Amino acid sequence: MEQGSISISIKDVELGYSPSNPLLPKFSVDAHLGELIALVGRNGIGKSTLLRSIIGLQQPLRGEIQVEGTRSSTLMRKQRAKALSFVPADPVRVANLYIRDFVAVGRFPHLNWSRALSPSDWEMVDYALTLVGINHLAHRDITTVSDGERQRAMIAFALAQDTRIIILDEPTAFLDLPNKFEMVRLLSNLAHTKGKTIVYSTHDLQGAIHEADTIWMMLKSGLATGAPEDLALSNSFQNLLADTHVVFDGDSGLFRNYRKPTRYVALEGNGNVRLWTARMLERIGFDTENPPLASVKVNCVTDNNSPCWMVTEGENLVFKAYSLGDLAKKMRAL
Amino acid sequence: MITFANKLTKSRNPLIFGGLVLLLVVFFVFDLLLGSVSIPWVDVIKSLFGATDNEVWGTIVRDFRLPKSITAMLAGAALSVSGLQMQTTFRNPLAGPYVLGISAGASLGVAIMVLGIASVGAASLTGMATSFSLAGAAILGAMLVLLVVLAVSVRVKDIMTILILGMMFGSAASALVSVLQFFSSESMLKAFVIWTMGSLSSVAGMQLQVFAIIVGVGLVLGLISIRLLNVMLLGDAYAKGVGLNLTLSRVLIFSSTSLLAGGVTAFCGPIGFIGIAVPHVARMIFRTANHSLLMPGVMLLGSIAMLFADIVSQLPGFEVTLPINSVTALLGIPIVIYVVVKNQRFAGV
Repeated sequence: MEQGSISISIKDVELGYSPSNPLLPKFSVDAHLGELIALVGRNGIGKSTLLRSIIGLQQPLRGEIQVEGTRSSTLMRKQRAKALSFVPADPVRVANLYIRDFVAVGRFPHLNWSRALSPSDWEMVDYALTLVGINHLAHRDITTVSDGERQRAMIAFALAQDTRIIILDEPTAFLDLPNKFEMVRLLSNLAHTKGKTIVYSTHDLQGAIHEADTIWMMLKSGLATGAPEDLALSNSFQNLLADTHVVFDGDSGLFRNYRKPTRYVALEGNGNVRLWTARMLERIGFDTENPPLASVKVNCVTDNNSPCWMVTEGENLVFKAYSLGDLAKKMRAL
Repeated sequence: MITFANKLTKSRNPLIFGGLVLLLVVFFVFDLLLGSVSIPWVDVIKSLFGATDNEVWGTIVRDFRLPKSITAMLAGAALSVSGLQMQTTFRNPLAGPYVLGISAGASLGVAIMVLGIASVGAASLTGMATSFSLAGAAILGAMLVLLVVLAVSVRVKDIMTILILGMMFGSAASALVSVLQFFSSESMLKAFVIWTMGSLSSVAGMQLQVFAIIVGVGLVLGLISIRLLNVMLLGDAYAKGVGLNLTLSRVLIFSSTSLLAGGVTAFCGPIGFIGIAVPHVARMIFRTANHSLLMPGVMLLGSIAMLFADIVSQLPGFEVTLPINSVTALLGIPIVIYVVVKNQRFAGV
């Protein structure tokens, strides 16, 4: 197995529960060794179904999924457990379970009939804990650590299983914002430095765009795949947001609620102050892009080294504001 | 600090095991000392090694008290191991040896024996309802339920479905028992009710050997199931992920539990609460979810608990003896309540 060879091959697959009504049209895609893939899509589009089909817990309606050249559904239990590991979405909540003991269960497919862990198995367990950075928590009860630490333990479990492919179901679901970013960075590190093929489902598009090599985007119209930047360039994320009020801002790479501006305002100023003033005005329903239509003008100025806003109508000063919150209140009242 | 705590935990376990073995020996000896006939402790020890001058005392100790104490130890270990297996398999802290309907099946066997056949007439109760034939009937009943549960678990993958079906089979068996009770005579009914109260003293000689073999096989299967239980504890997704054969594992564990719970029910009656409470005590003492420690731990603790229950049931200082089933319930229920109130972490067994 060398970097770039095909780990998972999905050929003409249709997913769903009734053969006459698949969730999305048939699609084909490959995952390559050392690639970090984010699987995105709306609720109910079949992300979990696809993951379950890859790990062989479920059969696709049509088509086939190959894992390292073998049809996934024909893999023997042990073979499969040595080829790919699966990190479920539900956090492990078993009281009195030490993290090291939990991760040790990951060695199960490699154990002989006596099922006792050898010193080299334990080395593998400790190495997995080190890779995810929770070695110091080895002897902590898994119910007493934070969600982020628990998620790391679950990834260590997959690393202890020592498979080339790791499949994760929503690993960032229960995490706070910094942890979400840390988690995808960890996955990216594992893919690129340890040569793991990692497929993870997520609703965190921001993190996926930030770190994933490839995004698999499940849409009612089919599967769209590509590097996140390619998908951004082709405005493909907008497909994911169809029928919603959310828009993808191609300039900032951010998602935001679409608001129809109801009023116009002219904005003058520069730098960060102007940027955040524009954001606020847009939030409360002003269009700042068409100054000729505006009767009121907001001027960002600096007064004694701190920002200050002067609102004018024609030549007359209407009011001054000393914070954006203050400005928002007064603008709404206009 | 954490490494220190770890060292402390690691060095703690041999101490705990040592303490438990000591406690077991003390309770075992104390259990032998108790009985309606008071025998000096020196003579109790002497008669164990066959060296007492008093033949009656020797017979009492060797043929009655010793078998009863051994039965108590075996029954306690058996019920506790099967309780641990069921709590982990069903990932439910309130599961116990009888959740699969094993004891209900055994009761049905006994009920048919005592209430059905005996009341049909031909045989007298004393002839038919020797404890050996009661045991045989109970084992047949337990095996019947076991076979149904195994057949279900080979076909049904969802563990909650298996649990619900097991409970339903158990309820159906209990309903049939009620029907039999309704149509039986008073004396038959009393014989049956006394059986349901449980007894450790009716197992001796040949029966004890059979009982020991059944429990022994069940316990060995229990030891084999240690690593499987460590995987099953994490739930089906993990078990499938690491390639565990769930069906085969369940068949192994259910067979073990049926031998253990079925064996105890057959020879001692349906003894409750030991199986539910002891695994929780073991988790509290060992502070681990690792079955490599919990399994030997519950064997020891179960034996100790049952000996303790037997000692209490003899009400030292009084002439009467309480039914063992009420003692285990009164001892076990507070522990179960404590666990439920204290932990409130139902997902984590």
